[in-house]
Amino acid sequence: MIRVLSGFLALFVIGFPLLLSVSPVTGFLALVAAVLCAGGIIKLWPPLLTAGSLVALVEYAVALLLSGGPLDVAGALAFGGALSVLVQATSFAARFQGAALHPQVLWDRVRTWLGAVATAAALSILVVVAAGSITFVLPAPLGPALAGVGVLLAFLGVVGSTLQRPDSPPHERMRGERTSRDTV
Amino acid sequence: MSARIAPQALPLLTLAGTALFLGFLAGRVELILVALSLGVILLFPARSSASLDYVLTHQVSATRVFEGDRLRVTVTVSARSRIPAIELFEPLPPTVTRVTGSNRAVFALRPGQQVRWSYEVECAGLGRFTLGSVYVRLHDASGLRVHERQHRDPKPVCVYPCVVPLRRVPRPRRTQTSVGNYVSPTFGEGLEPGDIRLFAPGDRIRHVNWRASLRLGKLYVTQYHQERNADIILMLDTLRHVGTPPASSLDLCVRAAASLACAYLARKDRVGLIEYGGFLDWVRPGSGSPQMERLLDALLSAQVIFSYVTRDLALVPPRVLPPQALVIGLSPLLDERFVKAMGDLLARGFDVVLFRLSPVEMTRAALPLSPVDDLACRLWSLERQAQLFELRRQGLSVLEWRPDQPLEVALGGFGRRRRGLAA
Repeated sequence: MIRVLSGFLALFVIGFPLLLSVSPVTGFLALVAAVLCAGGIIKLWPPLLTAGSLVALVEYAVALLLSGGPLDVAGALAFGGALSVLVQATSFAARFQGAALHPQVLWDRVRTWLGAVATAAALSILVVVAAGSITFVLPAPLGPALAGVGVLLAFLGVVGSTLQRPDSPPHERMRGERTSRDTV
Repeated sequence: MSARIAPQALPLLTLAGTALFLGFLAGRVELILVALSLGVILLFPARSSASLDYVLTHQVSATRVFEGDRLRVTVTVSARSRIPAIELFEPLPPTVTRVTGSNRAVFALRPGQQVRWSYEVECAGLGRFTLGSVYVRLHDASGLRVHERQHRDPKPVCVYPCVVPLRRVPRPRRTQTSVGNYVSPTFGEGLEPGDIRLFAPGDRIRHVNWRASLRLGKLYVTQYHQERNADIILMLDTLRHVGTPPASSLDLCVRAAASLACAYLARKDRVGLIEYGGFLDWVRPGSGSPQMERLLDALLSAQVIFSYVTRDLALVPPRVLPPQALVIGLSPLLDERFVKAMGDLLARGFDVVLFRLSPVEMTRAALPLSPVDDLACRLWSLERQAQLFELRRQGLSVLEWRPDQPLEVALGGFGRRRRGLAA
């Protein structure tokens, strides 16, 4: 079920930038993102899905640049929310794959995801409304600094993903244990 | 309890950072809003481990089972506070297969709620293992922070070898002095009539043979054969083995030893065990149900420990290896030292029977199909036939036993080839 949900979300995340601008660049990026996301969802492998989501994000940025349209808050919120739920849902499915899952756990988690999306929407609207004042208050060099913070966060995320031990069940760590009947 | 950030937080961090960077690079607010959407869940407050309180109990339906029996494992969790997701996992040993249910479960619990999680496992291979080590992961509401804990409530489980009822077992040549099921050539108290002789003072009236007395005109009494038991020593080869548990040559020999022990003990014989391997281990001969328990426990601990040192059977005390005992060797005969030990026993006057398990089939099954391997196995079979001929020439009673053959079938007709057996 989660694979189907993730599939629809990936379809939206990859297809939405194409609605803004259809070009060879966005088409190519959409194709790459689709392949990576499909692999990540079918195999339930979060790193592959993250790579696909990153390509979809770049595709969205390129589409925004090429379209040059006015500010689309609803579209950005829908895209961001879909991307967030896509990553979390696939990670959730990958983590609990093969376990006897109580339905309440899934509903609680869906409620949390929707709550996060709603919170993000509220914050976004607040940011957009207060954008004028924020621009007035913030000094000009803060933009590149925030961009640098973004790069740093992305870098930390990638390094953390690489270094952190896999969130596998403990039996992976127990594989080396022997029983009394094993050959010495 | 150890707490850490769940790995799924890191992709969100990467995506949020990238969106923030691209937003400032492209000068589009939409990408900043996307970064906000991705990053907001990372700011959800995480609950401390102390607020996630629960009680876990672990139960196993039985701790002593035979091969092929099933066990039910039940884990009960009672929550004292709200737990958004509790993940339970119990690792299983490789000799156990899950039949029903799952050994990994995830629940959401309200305060005071109790859940019972159970699953059934089948003990496919003999041995000892311990259940009761449950790994617990507590996830907070966002799922981005996990607390890990391990519950240790050790439940040692013994899986005894499957005992096959045997109708026919190798009969001993010599008997001992205790009462048993074998008819001794000597006369005494018993049920089997042997001879008649003239009545002598002190004979019991109930032994008078009235038919012979009337015919011959004098009082005659019937003499009966004594009924005696025998000492049986099972000698297990733990020098080497082939195959993988639960179908290794050692496993098959252990099963055969258990079945033989059960059959001999049912005949009131005294049964002992010697493990002949990297070290010598033994169980003194005894009879009855407690002895069966002792033998099963010893067989369960039997394992191959390779050593270049050859253990001398002269080290085994006579009370463990009594004179006139029937020694039954169980071995795939992969090590010449066991053959020498059996020859040594034969030379010392013991009645020796060797159960020779063929390792060729097990090795062939483990190898890929190839003409070279086929040829090698055929050559090996020929070598083993030559070895069998040599052993029989030396006077050893050898029973050839294939792994795919039931022990009862292998034993069929074996007793008829041996001479001078107790009746």
